[in-house]
Amino acid sequence: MNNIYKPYLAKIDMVRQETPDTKTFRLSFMDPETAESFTFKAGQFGEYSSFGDGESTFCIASSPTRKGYIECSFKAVGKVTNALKDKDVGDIIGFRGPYGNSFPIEEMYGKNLLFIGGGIGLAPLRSLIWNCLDLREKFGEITILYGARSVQDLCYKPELTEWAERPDVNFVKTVDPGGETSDWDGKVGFVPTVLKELAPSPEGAVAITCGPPIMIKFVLQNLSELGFDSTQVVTTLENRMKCGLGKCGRCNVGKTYVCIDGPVFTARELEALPVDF
Amino acid sequence: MSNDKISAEVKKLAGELLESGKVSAVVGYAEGTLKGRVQTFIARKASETEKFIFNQNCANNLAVYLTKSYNIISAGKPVAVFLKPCDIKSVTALIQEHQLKREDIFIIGLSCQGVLNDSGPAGKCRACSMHNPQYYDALIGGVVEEKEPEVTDPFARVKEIESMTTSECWEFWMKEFDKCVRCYACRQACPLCYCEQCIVDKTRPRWIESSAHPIGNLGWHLIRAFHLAGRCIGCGECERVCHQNIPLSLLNMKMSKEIFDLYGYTAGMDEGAKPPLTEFKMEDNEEFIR
Amino acid sequence: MKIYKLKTGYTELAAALLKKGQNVIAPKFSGRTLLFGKIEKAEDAVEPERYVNTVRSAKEFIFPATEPVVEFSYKNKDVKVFDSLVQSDEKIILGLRPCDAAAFTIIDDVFNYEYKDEFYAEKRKNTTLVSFSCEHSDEACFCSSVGLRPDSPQGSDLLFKKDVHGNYFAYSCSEKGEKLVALLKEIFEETTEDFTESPCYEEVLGHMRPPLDTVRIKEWLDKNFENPLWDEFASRCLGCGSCAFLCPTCHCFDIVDETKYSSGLRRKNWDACQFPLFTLHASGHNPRPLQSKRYRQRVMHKFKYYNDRFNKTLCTGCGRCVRACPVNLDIYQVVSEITKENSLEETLNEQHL
Repeated sequence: MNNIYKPYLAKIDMVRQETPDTKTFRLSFMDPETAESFTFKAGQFGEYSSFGDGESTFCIASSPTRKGYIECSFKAVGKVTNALKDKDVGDIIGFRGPYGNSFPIEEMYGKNLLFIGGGIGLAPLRSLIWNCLDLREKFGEITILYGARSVQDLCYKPELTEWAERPDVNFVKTVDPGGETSDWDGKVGFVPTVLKELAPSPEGAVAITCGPPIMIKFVLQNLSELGFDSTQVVTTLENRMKCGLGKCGRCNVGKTYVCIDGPVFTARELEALPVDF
Repeated sequence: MSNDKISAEVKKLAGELLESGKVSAVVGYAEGTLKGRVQTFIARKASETEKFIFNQNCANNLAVYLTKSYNIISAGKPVAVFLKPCDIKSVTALIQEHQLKREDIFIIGLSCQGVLNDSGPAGKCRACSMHNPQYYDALIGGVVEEKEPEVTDPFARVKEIESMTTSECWEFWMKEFDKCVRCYACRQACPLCYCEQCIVDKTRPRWIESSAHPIGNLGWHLIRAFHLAGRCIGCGECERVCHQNIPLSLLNMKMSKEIFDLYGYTAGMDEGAKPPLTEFKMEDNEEFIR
Repeated sequence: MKIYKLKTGYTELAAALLKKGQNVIAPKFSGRTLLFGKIEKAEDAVEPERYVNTVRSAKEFIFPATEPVVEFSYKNKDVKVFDSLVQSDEKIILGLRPCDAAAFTIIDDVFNYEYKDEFYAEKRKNTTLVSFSCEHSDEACFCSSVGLRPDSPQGSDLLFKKDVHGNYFAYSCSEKGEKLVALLKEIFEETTEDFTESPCYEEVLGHMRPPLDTVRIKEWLDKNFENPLWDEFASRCLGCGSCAFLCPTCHCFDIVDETKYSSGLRRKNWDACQFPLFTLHASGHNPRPLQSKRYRQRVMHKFKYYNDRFNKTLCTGCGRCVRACPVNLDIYQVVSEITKENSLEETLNEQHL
């Protein structure tokens, strides 16, 4: 039987504490055949299970160009994520996926990329960022604007340093006012505000954004003011999901199922959706 | 008084209350779409009050709309609500539990000769000895004569179950609970099931399995009965709304009987009284502690 | 479509199936509640002329209220997962109403598109649907509003109709139907008589609620995601799941883990969009925090979203939600009011012109 609800077993190879409440797991599939054949695209998501607690939905945070493993980052907020938080290297969890559409990477070839991330919203962008950096010559300028509430809430800190040091990446980091430390060398200000200061040109550019809903709201507004057309702006949506397969009926926004038709949408597509998310 | 006359009275009163700005809304009954059914209806303008009716099909206990999740009570102005004598007991219980302030509501008390369900007079009405509202702000239908109830022992049905052997009793309830699909109509229709987060919805840890299987269903119904012990006023809404016809009132009646036997307490009769399970007294019965 | 005359009555038909060792599911009383259940004795099967419809639909035999989909065990670092067995023994659902048979053809789409739900598909494949045309309707029935009739063959493997003398005629609509007739060939005989236009069903149709204009309903829904009517409709809704759980086409579900010691099951359970928890994010954000938004989702899903996706209305007019609603929130009445508002708008527009 092809059981669409049956997860693959995956072993936790690495755990990284990103922030006080956010962790990243590196996972490898137990079944050698799956490990060999598994592929995904940046922007896709999965259902991760802690057996006995249930499943939780988050994106794949690693790049499809890095083979042999997948990574995910999650914040311990609910039943499943709190159970996952207590897992360690060598523990086995479940994974179903990859599900959903993906970032339109081919359409981004030759363009300037502007990544705008907030907090744990960097996770799906990270998958695409590394994907693009691994194919660096295919893209124009790459700008990454990343912010969090405070310095300790920044995810992927070693990678932020790496991006900052790369000559082929324009990296800007910021924390919300009051979130800075005495040795903070980035900007202080909300992501949408810093974006405005940065004033990137919409010419031949694509903006990809993900973060808390309130950040996305103002980022979209400011991008539009900067002259970005809503077709030049891409984001990923999240909604409560159970199946990830377009059946269980809870992630829909109007007729659109986030799990099947999303999670990646252009700002133009979002405008067409009813405000039900 | 005839139904038409009573309905005319409630329409008039509701209209006056809204017209004068004395209340912000009136919660009442309107004609239903099926024979023997009424709709609950919330009027906010005097022009809408033409819809109101009252007759023997008005079984719903409208006190449920006074609980916080409906957000119907806004500061400053009371909400008027149609309440039958037994429904007023739930208001009393809500006041006792600090869920409602008396001054926030305007009680349109309805004297009641009993309501009907699909198969005739509702079970609770056959044992009812309170046909006139205990208190109210306006009385509709006048004072009716109190008469000896048809069923004199309100716990007669409970006693039938109590006379069963343990295994008969188990079999009886498991067969009934087997029909449950966990729609939670019983909880949603209950004015006293006002918890912001019901225990059945709690997942950390999960106390009761949410699946509609024997263990989950048993857990749900028993825990609900326990949570209502000494609080359930016996309006019977849970049983009325159960499309699977599970005799849920029996469970609550059993708890009421236990509470009465242990503490001599009947829920919903005195807004100043403290429900026995919420307070400690030196003379509390301790025989059940072994 | 072949037509066969049944030489016996309903009870004898049930008895003949049981005698052949068939697994028969049919309406029977559980206390005073009429439900589909496994028939042990033919007499337990309540004859179709004695009911309008069952309290619960037959969907639970294909899409159960709770169903294990994955099994797992964990001991320290040793985790194993298994497929749950699909309970897919061959069965015959007897005494269905055409609205309930049609419901399966509607939800087949969602369970089979993109990813195929084998738990649904296997049971569906192994179930034979034997419907009986309606000899009566009640005040809640409105199948004629959604393109059905008391004698619609849609979804049935075998559809029974009665002639004026009370004889049953079976219309075989599928291979499964043919197979069933062949199994009971001693009580069936092929005939050329046709009762497609049986006046009895026209009469039932006549007693039903007047047909709705589903096209106009959808037109209104297309334009009115935001409308004060949603608050008005939902103000009395108690937020229970009666409507969804009794509905033959509501198919939303939850997935939960249940454990015992070091093993457990992952279950697929019925869920309902009227519950606030349905869409509540772990962060506390809820896209549908109010009952008005949840009720809107229900109506939109039935009369618009499903239509947008699968070109079908997610309703068979069986009337169960109307009968069961504790506060008589009647979906037929709701969508009728919508069309009224629609016509009003149009009249106003015309006046402006």
